[in-house]
Amino acid sequence: MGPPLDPNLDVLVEGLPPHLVISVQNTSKYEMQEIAAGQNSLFIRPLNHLVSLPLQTRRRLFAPLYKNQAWSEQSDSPIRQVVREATLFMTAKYGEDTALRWRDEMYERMLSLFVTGGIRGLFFNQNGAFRIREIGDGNRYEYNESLEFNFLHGWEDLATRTVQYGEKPPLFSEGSEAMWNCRPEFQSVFNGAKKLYLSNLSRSIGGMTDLFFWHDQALQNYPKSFVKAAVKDAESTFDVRSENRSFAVLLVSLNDEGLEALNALERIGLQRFDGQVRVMFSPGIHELTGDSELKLRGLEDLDGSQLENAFFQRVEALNLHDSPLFDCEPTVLMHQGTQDAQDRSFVSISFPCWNGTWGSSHQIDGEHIIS
Amino acid sequence: MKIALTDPQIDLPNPVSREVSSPTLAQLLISILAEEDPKKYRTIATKIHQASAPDDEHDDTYNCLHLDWFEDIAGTFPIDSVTCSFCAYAHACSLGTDNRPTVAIVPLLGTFLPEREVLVEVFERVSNSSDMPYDPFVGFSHRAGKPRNIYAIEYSRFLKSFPECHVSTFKPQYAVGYDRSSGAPLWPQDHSFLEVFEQLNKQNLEHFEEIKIGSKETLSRLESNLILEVCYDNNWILASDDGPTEECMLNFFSGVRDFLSTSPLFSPLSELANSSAIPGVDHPHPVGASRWMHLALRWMELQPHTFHRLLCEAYPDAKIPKSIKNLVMNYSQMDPGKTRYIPRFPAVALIPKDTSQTVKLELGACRIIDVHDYRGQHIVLLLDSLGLSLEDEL
Repeated sequence: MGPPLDPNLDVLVEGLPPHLVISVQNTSKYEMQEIAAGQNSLFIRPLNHLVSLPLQTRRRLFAPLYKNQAWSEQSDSPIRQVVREATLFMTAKYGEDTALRWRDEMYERMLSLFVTGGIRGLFFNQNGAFRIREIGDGNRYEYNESLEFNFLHGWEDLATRTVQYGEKPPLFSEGSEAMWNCRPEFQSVFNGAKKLYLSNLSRSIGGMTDLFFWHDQALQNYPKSFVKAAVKDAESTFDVRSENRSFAVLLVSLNDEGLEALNALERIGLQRFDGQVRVMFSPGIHELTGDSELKLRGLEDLDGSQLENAFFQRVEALNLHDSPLFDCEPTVLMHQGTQDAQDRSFVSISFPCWNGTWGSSHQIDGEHIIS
Repeated sequence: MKIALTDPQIDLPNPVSREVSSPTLAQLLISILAEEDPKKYRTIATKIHQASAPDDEHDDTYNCLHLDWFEDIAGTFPIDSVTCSFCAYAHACSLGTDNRPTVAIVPLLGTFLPEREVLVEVFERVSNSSDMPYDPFVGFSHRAGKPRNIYAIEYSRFLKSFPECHVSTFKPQYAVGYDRSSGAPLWPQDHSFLEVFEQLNKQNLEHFEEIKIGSKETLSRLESNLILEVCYDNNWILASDDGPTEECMLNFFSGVRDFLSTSPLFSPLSELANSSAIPGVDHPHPVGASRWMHLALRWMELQPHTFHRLLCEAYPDAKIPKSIKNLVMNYSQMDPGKTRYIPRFPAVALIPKDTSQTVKLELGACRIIDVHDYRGQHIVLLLDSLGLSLEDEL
């Protein structure tokens, strides 16, 4: 395992927003932690945990489906029950082979919808499993709407009901059977839908951020303002609107000795990077005050400077030059003019990480076999 | 090798060794072998049970779980593992039986399995909740937590079996499948296209005869740029080629796009074509253009053989570039017994400690969701095949 995180991460925590509930997980391997609903949690972890990120994120997202139910072969979650009932209809219409294939795909899809959007993701979503549709035939006081299920070849009406304008009746509530006029052949699917909607199956709605942190020497040796600025920049930049955020910050020293190197797991973990890298330079005092021609006044002087060369050398020494981090031009920032600047120079490398979710895709995620 | 997916909830009796003093036991055992009448069988079983019981209670005695299976015995008497080993109903007894769901670790292509402790650690270490199975594939496989085969295969052998023939600017982390015929990852857009295409392909391939060479004048600048970029990336146009080669390709793909967008055969894709796409998420092309053009280019990349006739038209005098000719001619049909389009298998990688070998986390046919180090020589992948039998597929 790589070097553990510095035991004193106060300076790092100071760079993070106060509304986050921050925990440090300085364990040898990624261990999942419970997070309270409605709470924005941030976990600071060593970089080697990054290799486990997709497994742990998806496991956390799917955990509600396993809560309070036996997950054995016989378990019948509300989602599974709806799919099972719908499969009976599909079998009668299309035959067993098609129905079973559809069942597996539909179950996967419904799980994905639930994980990304909860019950609302299943019922009130353009690409959901169910949809509510207003039907044209009504009058000035009331209109009809149908509850539909997404079968293999399109939407089928399960039931219809009449709704008065201005009223917004819940989709289902206990004892509201009379509201819906259900088609007899879909009674069992309809019952399953109602049970699913009323099951109170909740997903974790607390936001969670994983911050993977690595430093090549004791944290106290870096300028405090630089550490805070690097972490603050990453936290306020990467996937700020996502419920499941993950990013990494590496603090790298330039022109120094006795520095830590990346171990095998840490280097492999860097492949999880997904997006654009941000590099923040913290030039040493000598870079800012030397000979007027070599003096670094800002980003415009970085190109071809000693600081940039030192950075390239360090990147090579860390074997980062052949990692995908720098396949594209990074965004470069400068941290300078602070009271705690040192003789030595430092640089931070930060990047967002892929955590196994497909949030940015327009498609429903999942695995499929096309026969 | 089998690995349980839950905590042990079994109560195994401690094995003991002692002499059975009853002189009638041997005769009773022989009698029960020939007994067919259930009542008499029960009588003899009861006698065996009594005869094999220890004379006195000791540290490893316990009470029989199924006394009601025997004839009424006055009072309770302790038994031990020796009694159970002679029991005539042992085949049906649940004592000591491990009914936990398990996965079987199946080595593929001569892969040498790591030690049992290493594999158990991969499964047990993942859970800190009694609600969830000890299964690293939760969230990636709908069979997670259920008995099934998990395949172990050396990383290098996996790469040989599922080679990566297509080079893309993007890692295939958003890809959803893999085409074994072309060795290309399949992206969400490909999945939608192939569902329609394969359905048509099964019905009547001749429909595609209606594709005509188009005109580059109808292409937008974005489309022209995309075509040229993809053609150069795939070596369909070489740096040494002249201007007319570019023109041929522009006209060619203009025609394919027109066919796709106007043919009723592909009308199920209209909704997809009108939606926006993210390069590297929905398709592997480096720049964005119209969705129909992305579909046209992916069609050529995945199913080049369908364009043989059209290419001959596009390139008069049979001057089809060698790279395209090779692409079309070398297109290999899959063995009918094997699955061409497979999902990207989720996998856990075991890498030797202190190794200089490295592993790519995102492969065309596999996504590595976790990495463990272990004392071994080779990088080994533990794969959930998502329902496919890899013994048959490889």
